[in-house]
Amino acid sequence: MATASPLPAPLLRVENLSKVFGGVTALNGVGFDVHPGEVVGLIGPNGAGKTTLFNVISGLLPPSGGTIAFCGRSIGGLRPDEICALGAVRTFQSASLLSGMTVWDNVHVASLFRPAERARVESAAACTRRALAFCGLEDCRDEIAETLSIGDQKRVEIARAMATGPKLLMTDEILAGLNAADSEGILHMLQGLKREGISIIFVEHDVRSVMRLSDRVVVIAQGRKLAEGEPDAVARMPEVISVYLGGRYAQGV
Amino acid sequence: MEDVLVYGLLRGGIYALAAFGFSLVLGVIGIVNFAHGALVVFGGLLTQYLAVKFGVPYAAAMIGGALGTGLLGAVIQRLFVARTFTLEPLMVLVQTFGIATVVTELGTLGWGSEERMLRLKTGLPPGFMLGDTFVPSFDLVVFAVSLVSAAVLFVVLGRTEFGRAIRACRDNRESAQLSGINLGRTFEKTMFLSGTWAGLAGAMFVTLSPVAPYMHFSWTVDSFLVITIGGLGSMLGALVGGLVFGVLSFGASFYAPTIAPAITFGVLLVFLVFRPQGLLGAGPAIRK
Amino acid sequence: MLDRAAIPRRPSRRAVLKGGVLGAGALAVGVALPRIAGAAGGADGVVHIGASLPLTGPYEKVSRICKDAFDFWTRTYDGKMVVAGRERAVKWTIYDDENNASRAAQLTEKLISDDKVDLVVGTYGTDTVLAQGAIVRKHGRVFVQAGASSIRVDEELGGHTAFTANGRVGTYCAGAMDFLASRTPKPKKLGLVIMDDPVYHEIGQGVKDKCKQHGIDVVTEVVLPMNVQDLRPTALKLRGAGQLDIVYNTGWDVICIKLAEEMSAIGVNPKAFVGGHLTTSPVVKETLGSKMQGIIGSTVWLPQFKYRDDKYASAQEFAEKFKATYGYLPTYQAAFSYILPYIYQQALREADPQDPFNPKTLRDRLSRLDLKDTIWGPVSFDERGRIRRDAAPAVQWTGDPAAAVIVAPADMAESAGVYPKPAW
Repeated sequence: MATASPLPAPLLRVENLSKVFGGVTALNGVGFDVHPGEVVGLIGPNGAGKTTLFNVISGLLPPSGGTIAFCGRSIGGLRPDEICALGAVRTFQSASLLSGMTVWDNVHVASLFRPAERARVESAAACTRRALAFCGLEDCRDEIAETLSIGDQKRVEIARAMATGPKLLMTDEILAGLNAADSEGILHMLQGLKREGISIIFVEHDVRSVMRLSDRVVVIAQGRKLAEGEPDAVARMPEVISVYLGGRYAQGV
Repeated sequence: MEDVLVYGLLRGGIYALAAFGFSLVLGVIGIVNFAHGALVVFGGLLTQYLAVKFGVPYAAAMIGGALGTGLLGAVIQRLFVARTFTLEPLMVLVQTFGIATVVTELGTLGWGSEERMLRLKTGLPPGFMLGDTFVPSFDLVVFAVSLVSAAVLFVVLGRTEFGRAIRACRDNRESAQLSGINLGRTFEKTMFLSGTWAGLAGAMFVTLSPVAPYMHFSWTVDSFLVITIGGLGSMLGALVGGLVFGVLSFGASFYAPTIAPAITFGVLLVFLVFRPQGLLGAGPAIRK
Repeated sequence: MLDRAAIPRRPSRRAVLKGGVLGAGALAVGVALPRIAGAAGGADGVVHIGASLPLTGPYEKVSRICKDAFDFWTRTYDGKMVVAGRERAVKWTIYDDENNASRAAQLTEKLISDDKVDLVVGTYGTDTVLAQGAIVRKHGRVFVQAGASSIRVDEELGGHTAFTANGRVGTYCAGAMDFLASRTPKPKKLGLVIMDDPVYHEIGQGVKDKCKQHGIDVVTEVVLPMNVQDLRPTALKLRGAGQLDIVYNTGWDVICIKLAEEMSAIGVNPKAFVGGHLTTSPVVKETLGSKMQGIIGSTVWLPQFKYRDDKYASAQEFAEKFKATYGYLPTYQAAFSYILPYIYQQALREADPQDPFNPKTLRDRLSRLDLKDTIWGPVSFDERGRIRRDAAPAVQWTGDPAAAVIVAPADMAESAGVYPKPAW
């Protein structure tokens, strides 16, 4: 199994993570690393536990077992805003904006509540402007978030995540429901973020995009890690093909 | 007719003042705070106590009463509601009902169950004629304070960092947290704001009419009626709802006093059936 | 009974919680105590008096006063009552009826059948007294009560079971109305505020009867729900009725306060304002301050009343001693509670030693009772078992700080009174 090239201490280290809801085990001993500047694709069939994994890492759900270390610090059980302040943010599968507020306010809220050391470097307004410009949202900054098209709502999600000044961005099916042009735009933005040194965990159904963007791919199924490796290597693994990729991607390659 | 309208609007100012916080807490924290009326009464009694016991000038006593009530609200949030607000709404309802009882009983222990009123010597003339209606000066002062404080609340929520955090938590709790907002702190601040405005309503009302701990529940019910009429989720809705409710309840008590409660609740039912979002509500009556 | 507490101000959840505990406690005590009072009707030298009071729930404050007054009577007579010429020790059994009629009936049954009390005194509250009376009647006994003054007591229990030491509420207004009718210029127009509950309608009817008698027009009548909050609409109604000579409030103290406040706020200035039967409760004076000037109240008892009995030279002395013991001035409820065992004592003094508590002879003795001097004033009962009182005295608040002075009836009046009263 191929691993990523040796890198310094990982940005995120998930070890033996489990999450049990009542009697249902959603995550069972999952472990992987994300290094600075790296894009890790996370794939798996529906119900594999991808979203639960994000919920646990981002602090929306407490873990049932295992450890999560971010920048060398254990973050299991911290509040979402504390984890956000440390620099790990996520987006939601269906755009989950502050629906009644303007685009500006959506992004500005995130700028306002950055930790003090980041707020000293750049004013909240400047941070908001930069995030909006990066995502191409300057023209609709005064519109109410819920009135935007799905594509623009996803851009606002990314802008908002950016405004928090993240080291790690977790995108949860950010391309779902988008047309080809919007998808392409978002992928460009993510590549831009990667160039700025931001690590990304990329959960996506569109396997082609995953393979294109990711440095490394982690496959989970039924709450367990099934495989991990460089995209092409993972795509060829028989067990991955059988549980997830089926015939369609293999044929497409 | 004209006088019913004028007096109803004047009363409506206080109803709106009391309802702002109720609406805010329902919108942001997502709970029906049955202890809200207890906060209104607490604010009134605290103001009266500061003014009578320590000879504090009214304006200062009013501010003290309002902020003290805000503090009580924040304490209630931290000690009780914060631990349960994610449970079944019914459980939280029962809990806030329990808090109302405890606050009321403690208030009774401390201040007694008698009705108290704060008599002010304002130096203002007793009132003036508006058309054929005599308008008492202090009623007008109270009304003006209601409008001004509504404007202040509007600015606080719309323009400040704190207001943005509150609105963010109202709009989408998870996204707000993932934008770095501390949900618990924001809820405490929300309750503080809610309590402060409730206390302000009590502080004004205690100068117009006697207040006693046992009266808390009618304030809760009135606040509920106000936001049902005005609509949840906007301070303007609470203001308009307060004024409409003021006229409605005054008119009902004037034209048909014995069945006045039936009339006001009848209107509530009509609103719930035909316009659950209220006159100015942003969405359906209960969002979450 | 008629009191500010008559409104269900605090829902009875408290009564439910606490009543259970206290009630159980009281029962336990009742059972655990040795049965000193034997079945022989006090032959062992004890008079056993049984009662229930709404010790928890909305009337808990008032019933505390009643209980203190029972205790005060017992202390005054060193815990002894002379029955049939012989001194006997007094033993009380008092249960908590939670202001619940069926509970009151149940407890009365227990008092009579299990505890075998010699005498029953009435509780506080119209419905509970009526329920008690039904049980007392079933056993063919009689009882003395003052906690319900509604005419229903006369209709349902009068003449055979109940002797009521409190005047009919319909007579509450009489002193005030007679006083006002004798003023010049004679008042012509009256505005009446009635709380929507039978007992308040009864007071209101009394006012209307007096108006008829004196040729005064009731130009407006506002009936208010018991849970009324805002009295401004009422004040506006009164203003709409034109210049009124008299505004009469049948309601309790808070209604009096709010009505005075609202009338003064929107400039309704009647020549006289009768604040009702509770203007003497301290909260009225405290909240209304200088607006008390000229307000008239009806009152069934005050320490100033020139009453006396064998132990106290004046009602004032009674009041002071009571205050020294319990820390507060006795209200009219204290006086009428004190008088209940007192009445029994007077009726039984010369009873037949063979069967002192025989219901039939007790009934006759009570019917014939004619006491000139008691702390509660003259006591005798009419054929319905109702105390002979045709008017509650009236007081008017004057001076600064305002104090209540008696203005009617003429033989008790301390002052000629003020009419018209100063504007608010």
